[in-house]
Amino acid sequence: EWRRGEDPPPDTRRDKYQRGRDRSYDSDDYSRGRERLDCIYKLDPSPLVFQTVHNDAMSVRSKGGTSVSGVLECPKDEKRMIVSIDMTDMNKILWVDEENLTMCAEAGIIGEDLERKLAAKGYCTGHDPDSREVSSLGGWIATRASGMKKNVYGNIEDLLVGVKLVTPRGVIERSCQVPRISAGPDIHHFVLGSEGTLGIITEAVLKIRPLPELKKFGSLVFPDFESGVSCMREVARQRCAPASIRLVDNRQFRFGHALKPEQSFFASLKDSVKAFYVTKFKGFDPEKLCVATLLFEGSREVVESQERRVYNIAAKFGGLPAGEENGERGYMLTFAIAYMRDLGMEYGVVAESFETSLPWDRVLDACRNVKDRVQRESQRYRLHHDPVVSCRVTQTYDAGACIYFYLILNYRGLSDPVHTFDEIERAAREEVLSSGGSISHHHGVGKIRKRWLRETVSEAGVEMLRAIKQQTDPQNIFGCGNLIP
Amino acid sequence: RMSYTAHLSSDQSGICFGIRSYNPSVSRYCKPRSRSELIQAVLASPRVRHVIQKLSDDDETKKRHLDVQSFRILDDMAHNFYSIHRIRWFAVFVRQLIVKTLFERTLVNEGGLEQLFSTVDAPVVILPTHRSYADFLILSLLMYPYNLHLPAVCTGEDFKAMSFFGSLLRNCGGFFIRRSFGSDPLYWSLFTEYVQSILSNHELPVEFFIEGTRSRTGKSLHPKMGLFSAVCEMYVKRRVSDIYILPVSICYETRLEESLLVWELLGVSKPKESTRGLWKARKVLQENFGRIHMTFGKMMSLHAEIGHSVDRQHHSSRPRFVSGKCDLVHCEESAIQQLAYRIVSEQQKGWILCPSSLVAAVLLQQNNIDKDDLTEKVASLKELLERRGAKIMWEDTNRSSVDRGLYFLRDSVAVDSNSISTSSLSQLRAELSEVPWPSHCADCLTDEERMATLVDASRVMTLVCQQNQLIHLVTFDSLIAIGLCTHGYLQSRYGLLVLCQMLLSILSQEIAIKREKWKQCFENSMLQLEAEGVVVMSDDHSMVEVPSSSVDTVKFLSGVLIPSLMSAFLVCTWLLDCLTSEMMVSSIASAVQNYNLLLIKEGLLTFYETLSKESIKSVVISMINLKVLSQNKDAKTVTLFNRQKLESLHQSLGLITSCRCVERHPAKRQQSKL
Repeated sequence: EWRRGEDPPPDTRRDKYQRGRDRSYDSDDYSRGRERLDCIYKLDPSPLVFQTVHNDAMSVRSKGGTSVSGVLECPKDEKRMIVSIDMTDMNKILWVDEENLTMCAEAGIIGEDLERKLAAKGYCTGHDPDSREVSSLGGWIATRASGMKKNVYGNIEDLLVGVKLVTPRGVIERSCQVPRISAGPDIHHFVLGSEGTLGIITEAVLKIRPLPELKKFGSLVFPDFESGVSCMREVARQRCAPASIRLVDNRQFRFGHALKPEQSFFASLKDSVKAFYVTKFKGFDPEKLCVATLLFEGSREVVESQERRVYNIAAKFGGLPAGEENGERGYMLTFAIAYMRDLGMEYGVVAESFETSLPWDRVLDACRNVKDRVQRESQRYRLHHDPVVSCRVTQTYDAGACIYFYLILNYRGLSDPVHTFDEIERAAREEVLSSGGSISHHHGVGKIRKRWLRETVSEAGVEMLRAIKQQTDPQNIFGCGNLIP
Repeated sequence: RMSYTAHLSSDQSGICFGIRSYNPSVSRYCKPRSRSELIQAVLASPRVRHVIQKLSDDDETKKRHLDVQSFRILDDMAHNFYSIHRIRWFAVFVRQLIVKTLFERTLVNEGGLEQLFSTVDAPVVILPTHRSYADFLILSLLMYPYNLHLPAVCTGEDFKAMSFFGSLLRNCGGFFIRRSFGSDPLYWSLFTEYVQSILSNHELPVEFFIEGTRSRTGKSLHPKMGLFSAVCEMYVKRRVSDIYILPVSICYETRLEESLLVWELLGVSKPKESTRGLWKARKVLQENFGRIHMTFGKMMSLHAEIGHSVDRQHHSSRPRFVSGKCDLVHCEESAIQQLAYRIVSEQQKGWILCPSSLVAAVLLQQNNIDKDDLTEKVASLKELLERRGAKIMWEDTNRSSVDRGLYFLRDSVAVDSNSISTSSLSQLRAELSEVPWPSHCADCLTDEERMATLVDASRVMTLVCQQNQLIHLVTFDSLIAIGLCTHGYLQSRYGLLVLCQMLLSILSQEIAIKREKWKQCFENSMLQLEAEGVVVMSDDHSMVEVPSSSVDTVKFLSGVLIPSLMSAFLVCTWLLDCLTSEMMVSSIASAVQNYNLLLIKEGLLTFYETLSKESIKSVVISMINLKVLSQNKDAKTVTLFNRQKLESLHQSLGLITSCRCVERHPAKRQQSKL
């Protein structure tokens, strides 16, 4: 049902166009001057279609919502016409199975819509990435996404019960919907994180949960980042992490503080302790203190007992409860940051975020090293303003944590800001890897991290991925050029 | 050109110096802690826990025992640094009693020192040269008026025992390590963790001597890798994102302990370090020791130097504490070693020569010289050295510089109204043609005779130590010159290279250059000599010739290393004749020294340098490395392993030192055995 060269209806075009755009700066899709084809009508991709596509010498890729790894950039050496398939109209929930607590939806459904529709039935998936307003179900699977509330619901690989992947060689899916299976290497794991290289994800079955009885924010203030990290490590050790627990460093705390509309952080401490108590009596240094935001979900008893345990642990590390309101605002800030990036551009500020996962013992060193390295690089490039590097611990695991970095740079007065920023960002990423971090916790490899995949999964590992690709898509119809170096 | 500023000797009184404001800036990463907190942190570190776990085999009693032992070791080791009064005390004491009394002036290149201000937030390692005990005192003292942290200084355990001095050192950042702990994993882990803990907390800069020990001879030593690897490991495993390294050259016109060191070289046992000994030494030596020059080299960043050879997969895939010793892969080790050699060469670049070194170099080759002649020769040597990048402290005129040089050599040379002679050198020097077996046996030498010869030797050795300060500038020139002298001033370029490599392999212990660099140094030296017109190349660059105008220069250059080769030759001679059974290296050294003493006594040998036990030992070690001798590691004895090779080395050395052959007297050998 797709037609070549047909213009999309005028009212939807801009919206779709915008959505398909890569959310990274270096996106030259528009200037390539290559014929582009947008399939905006409902599409049932089947192997047959892709065969046709191949005969017409096209490269196919699916359009995503957000991308922080360059997955949507057109490969530089692609000579064929590129077809982008917009999945946003494949946005229905096909069924909800209340007995088994699963649901099946088309892959183009946007996270926000999915949760809203499920909530109307009294359920949720609980998968809650910061990008849920723009990211889709298919995108989550293709990138091995992680949700904020993974402590209760799990990451996407834990939620996934079934998935349908259409490849040029046929449809890959499991024939049963079972909680666990031992049938060789899990076929789902070929799909999870495949980043569009093997085919198009058309539908998926996820676990669902009844909506929680109670949802409660909370926050803690620590004298410094080190004690905050120690507290998180202890929470992970005792396996009592609430749905979400995040620790922001002093920089981000002050940034969030500066953004607040009316009252200050300390004024809102009214329900627990007074600002005087924190800064004077407890001697917290406003230049050093940092804040953890908490989100509890579940039944009233569970939430209450969890709260007690977490606050007790925090007290051991010098943490003080700082109220619900600050917690809620903390989560709002993460959403806001995504939008603020575009705003910053107008004021001569470039920003980029990157994330990694680390073993516990290296968390503090890595945070410090990245900040140091950026500082030194900026001295090397003689920046007029010191760049801002800020980090937060966003997830805890038994064996480690996920760290999120922001790198913000004022490029006014620089002769070649793009190059300078690239170099500094590269140095920061190198530093993460050298400090024992992974190339990504949940953003994926895409194009910008391809060069580090070989050292991450070993030479033979890359060959294995390449073999799968070669066998599933021998003509490289899904020539998006992601993942495999 | 660097400018030097005089410091520490201003007229400011001791009290004013003592109470000046001292408030060094603290890194924002630093968490202040006490000595016991530092010790506890080291004991609780995963590295130390892991080693104790492994050693104790999960036996609780053993484990407790090891815990106690570790605490004792650390308590012995750790510095004590948390009182400003102690630092002020130290500053006043060292300045008044040592620097101001004994030395004329201390000159520092401030530009280099100021680099330390810009590195508040990065760990710094200061690596000075080590020629004298005074090194760490003066360097620490210098930090005080500049309002910088006194570094934590790694020193040998023998200082700890000194009653007053030991605690003074400890209170000013000195920490004490055992001289050797090669295979003790617990000690390794404690010591590595201790140093890394100081650096990673950004508490203090750490200072240690990359050469590992004081250079008695005045030459640079091969860098020791232990502590340096421990520091690099910290960067490689990313406990910090970078470490800055500051090479420092501390140059003395005369060392405080010069005469002690000379005796040590001759193998007369060194008096044990004691405060009383030091005090007595100070009394005796209450005289002018000249100037001290301190050159702070260019700060190096470990990230820039070895960052590219880090194998991060290796380190990311296992915990960082797994080994007590440093856990580095091969390419990292070799990069670190290369860097260590570069640091030594940076130290050499910053070295400031004094007139006495040049005067000594000339006098060692020409005895009984009149002052005008000496002045002329010293001036031309100065030019030659400056063309090789030497920095030389010079007075207004050449004559006054020579006078200054002679003043500081006053114990070794006799200055008549106009002619200068070194009291013990005769003119024979290069005319020795044969080394016959001495007619006496070693026992025939009375103690008085022995002592008298050694006293003469000590005078020569003083000159040699002075000359050694410039030797790194002309090492290859000298080897090439030796090659040319041996072959009638005409030799193929390739032949020269082969000869140089052969000689280097014998002298390798005393020349701090990596084997891989030999060829490059040779080529550089050839280019330099050619540019100066000292040698002329044939058209196809295959032959090297010495024009008659530069024969004197070539002779002079060759004379610089001939004594060392003579020493090697005599060692070979002795080994061929007398090494019949297993022997300890130290007893070989004594035996060879005795043999040389006899030769000197009989007037057959005039190279007093050959009496140095140090150089005898270093030749023996080279022979072990060349697989001429084989070493029994447990008993520390050596035996002859490859007689043929030894004979060929002996022959080549004989040719070079113009000794044709050694007469063999089997009967005498019997005698000496008795």
